[in-house]
Amino acid sequence: MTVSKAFWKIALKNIGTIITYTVILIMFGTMNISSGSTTTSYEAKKPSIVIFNHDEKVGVTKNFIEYLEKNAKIKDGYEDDDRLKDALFYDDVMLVIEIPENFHQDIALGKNPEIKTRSSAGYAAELAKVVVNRYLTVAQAYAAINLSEEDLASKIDGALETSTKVDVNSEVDTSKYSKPTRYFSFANYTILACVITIICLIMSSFNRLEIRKRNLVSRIELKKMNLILLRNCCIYALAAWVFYVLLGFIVLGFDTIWNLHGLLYAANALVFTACATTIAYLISRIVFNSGAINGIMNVVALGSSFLCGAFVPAEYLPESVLAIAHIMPSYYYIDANNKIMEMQNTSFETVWPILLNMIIVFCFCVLFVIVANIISKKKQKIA
Amino acid sequence: MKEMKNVIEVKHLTKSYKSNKAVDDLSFEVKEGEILGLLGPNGSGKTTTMNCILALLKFDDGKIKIFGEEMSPDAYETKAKIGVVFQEVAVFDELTVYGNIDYFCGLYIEDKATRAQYVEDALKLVGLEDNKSQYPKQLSGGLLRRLNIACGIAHKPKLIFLDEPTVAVDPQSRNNILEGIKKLRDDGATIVYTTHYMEEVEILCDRVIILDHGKIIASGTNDELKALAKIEEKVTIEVADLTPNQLSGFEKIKNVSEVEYDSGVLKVVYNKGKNNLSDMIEYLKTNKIAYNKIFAERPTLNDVFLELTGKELRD
Amino acid sequence: MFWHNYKYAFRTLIRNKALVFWTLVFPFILAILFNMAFARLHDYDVFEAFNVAVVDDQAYKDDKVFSEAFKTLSEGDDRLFNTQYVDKEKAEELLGNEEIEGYVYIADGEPRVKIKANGSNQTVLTTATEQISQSTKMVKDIATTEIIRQAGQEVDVEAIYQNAVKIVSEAEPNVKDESRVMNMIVIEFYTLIAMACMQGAMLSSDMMNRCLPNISNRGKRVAVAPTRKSVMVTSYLLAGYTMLFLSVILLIVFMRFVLGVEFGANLGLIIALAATGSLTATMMGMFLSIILKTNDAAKNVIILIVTMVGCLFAGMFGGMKNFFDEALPFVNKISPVGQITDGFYALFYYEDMARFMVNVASLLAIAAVFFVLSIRSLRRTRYDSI
Repeated sequence: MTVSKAFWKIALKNIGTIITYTVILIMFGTMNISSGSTTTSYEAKKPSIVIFNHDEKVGVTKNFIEYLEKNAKIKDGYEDDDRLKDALFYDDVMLVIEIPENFHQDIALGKNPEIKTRSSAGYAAELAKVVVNRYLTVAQAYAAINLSEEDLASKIDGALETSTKVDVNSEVDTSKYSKPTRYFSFANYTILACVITIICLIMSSFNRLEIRKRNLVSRIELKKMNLILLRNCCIYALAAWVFYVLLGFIVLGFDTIWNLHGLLYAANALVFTACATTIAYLISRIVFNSGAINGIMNVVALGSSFLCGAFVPAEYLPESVLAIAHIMPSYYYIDANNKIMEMQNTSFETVWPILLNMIIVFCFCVLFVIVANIISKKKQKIA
Repeated sequence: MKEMKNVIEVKHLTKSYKSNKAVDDLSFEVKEGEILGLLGPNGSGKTTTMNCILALLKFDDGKIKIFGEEMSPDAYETKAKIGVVFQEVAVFDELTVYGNIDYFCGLYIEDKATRAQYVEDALKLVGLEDNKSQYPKQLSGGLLRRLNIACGIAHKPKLIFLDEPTVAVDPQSRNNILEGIKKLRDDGATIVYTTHYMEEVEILCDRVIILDHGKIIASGTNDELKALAKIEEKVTIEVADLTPNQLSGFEKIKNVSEVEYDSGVLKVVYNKGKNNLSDMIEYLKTNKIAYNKIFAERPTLNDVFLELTGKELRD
Repeated sequence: MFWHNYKYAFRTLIRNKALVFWTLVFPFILAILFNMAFARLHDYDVFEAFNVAVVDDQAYKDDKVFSEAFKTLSEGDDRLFNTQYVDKEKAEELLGNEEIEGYVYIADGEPRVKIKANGSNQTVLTTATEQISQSTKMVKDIATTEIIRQAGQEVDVEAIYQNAVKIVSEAEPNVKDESRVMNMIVIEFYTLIAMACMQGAMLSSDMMNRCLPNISNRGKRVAVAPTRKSVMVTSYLLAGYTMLFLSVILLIVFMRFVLGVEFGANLGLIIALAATGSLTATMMGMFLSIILKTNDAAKNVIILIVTMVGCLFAGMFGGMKNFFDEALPFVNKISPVGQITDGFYALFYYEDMARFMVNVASLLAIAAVFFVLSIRSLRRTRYDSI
């Protein structure tokens, strides 16, 4: 059992790598990023607005501020302009509006006073602008017919009350599963990183051993050694899968995920972990230099994570990138996660597309193994 | 014979790692033009001594002079005259054989024309002329060792330290290396040669210092040292059968100091004299003892070491 | 001697595949990946019309104001919607198959929207529908007010209505947008440059390994050579620094001219920042190389981890910089990655130089700290053990 022992010794030596990627997973895969970040869902949220009011808080001005308070989150404490600039840049504040002096009188007189704004660049900022413009448009329209300030305010309120009833068709709140989906999609990176690094490092050190021992050790023993290696690789990958699924269940909360959705996430991750193992196997057949492994792993893991939507949701990726992504198993894994999120009931129609994605990922596994074996056969002939 | 100058003088050198004394009150000198062998088992303090002399290591006590000057880390003039070949191969994988030698030589020799000539000389000395545009990764272990040596001695130093340059080297490269070292001495360099291979010391060194546990346990020329072994000759005879009487008879033969018989092999040790074998054969004939093979050997430095420490040089 | 050493050090560096990968190739690959992944994320100018449906029943046809207004939004090049006019069953079917984002129908005289789940397009559809109903309501309201005012006189209802439509359609907010054109995504690229700088610590770490006898065998060889240690160390570090600086400049040029990433206009200051960041990284690499008594590969992994944590705090992978700045403000103040990123940000976003100067000063201060911490070990000429 010296082969097994050596295997786990090397794995243990690289525990630092595993811990690092796990911490990254917990940080990115579970943290709810409150700032208007690039990757959170774009649901209608109240935009954050900073108001600088140079007018008295009376009449229409008061009405305007109250309207904003209802329709947006008003933020304070941005007297320091640099702080405000940073907040705008990072989309923590979407809109800054300055209400000029005498605003309430001027608007009533139909003067249409100028409002200065500064906005961040983002969807939420556009939403905030819509909110502000809506009020100002209504106010200006009513101001055209010479109303008293009180009448003006109440008319504006009346017009703004207009709302459209929205019927939402879905029975399941998909946002319930947006966090688990985020976690498991991010795990694409973590699983690839941990499985490829460790397995490739181990395989490369055994490969060197194998070459050295080829003359000393009989063919059968070599085969046996390879078999033990393979078995240990699978045990390691399986352990990684159990670890990340359990970790996911713990950080996401058992009650949200201890159901069919959770089972599907776990099954999907299992198929993908198997695929990562075959990718590692393939790489270890091509690359023998242990120094290159870290680099190749990063290119494979980061590349597929970026292009397949593990970091930036696939719906925000350009068409051309998604077209490329179709040739990678990560795409089908992440797509399956999204489908699980959207799954509303358990019928063949809803589960089948998810299973189909898993089958595609499994086909990738077979493909990688075949390619790996062809390559190693060719290499043996040369040697 | 003219009086040789001392190139290195070491006086009362003491160095300990925590509680472990690696070098214990060591004093010796190296004379100009000689090859001094520092012989001892692994961990006997050879490399530590060398590193202290080179001012790489701090030491607790003692004085070291090289070329009459006190050695210190910024004794650059002295350093310029020294070449060192360390035990571990220390070359750049990214540079060719030529590039490596040129780089290290360039730390000593600024003039480009001179350096080019020196690098060629070094390549010739270690026999790497045909490999000069290869990279270290393409070299076999033996050739790599030769490159390591070339890097250390290309600047034609007057004093050369070689720390186990032949460890794990094939016989052909070893011979090449040993020949090269002799040639360096013939060209006028003084050499300190560290090893635990006694055969090399016997072939190569003019004078030998044997170290154990950081102490000098013996020093002198090969012959002087062998005299210490109190052995002149060892004779081994394969004898199938021997009575106790016959055995005690061996001890009475002239010059015999020790007799040992074990499972058909008889070992007889003489402490002095030459041509002892004839007496032995005479005894075997008269007592009608059937014997199979006889061979006689001269004592080795291992015997000296065994005599002085009670253990083998190579464990 | 200095230039002999420098020349060879540089030659070995550009031939070292691992170092070239981490300091040059890897940031390039990441830059390309960033560019691909973030390309669409902040393109709000190119709004794409999306598919919706309208239930084209009698109620819809009757509500002339609404149907006319909705039609306007579905026509022309700058239209919001690609509208299909269908019956209710078909609309449901389209929604179920996700062929449309939602559909509009009139019920009880009011337009209503049906969607499958919330999303940005759904919000646009809802808001537009709401705006139309609101305008309709306002026209009625204004006209009614006017008619009541003119009570007792001869009322030209048609004219009043037309005037009301004119008022409502011409009402436009007087908003002066003073925001700067900006794109948060540039931060990703700035952190990437900072990352490339810090990965460069591997170069100086490798350089130090070469000249310290207690770290490498080559170091022993250098230590017994008759060259001053200060000369060796500076020429080695300068070689590493040159390589790093060139790679960073190359990366910036690539980002600016191939990927079109925006930087501030001041080219000289951008180069100065790259030079300062490279210097800090070089000093950090020297320091880490001296204090970490492990092999090259392990040192590189540690540098990689330090860099990546710095990148995380500085806003790589999802713009969390401001979040961390509010939560743990000191981290980015002492992290070279944070300061380099902030420096590029300041050059791009701030008009005055004060913030940029603080960034450069902090980077120099961090470099100085690493240098001072290293010097003690560097000045040592004999070692306790090697």
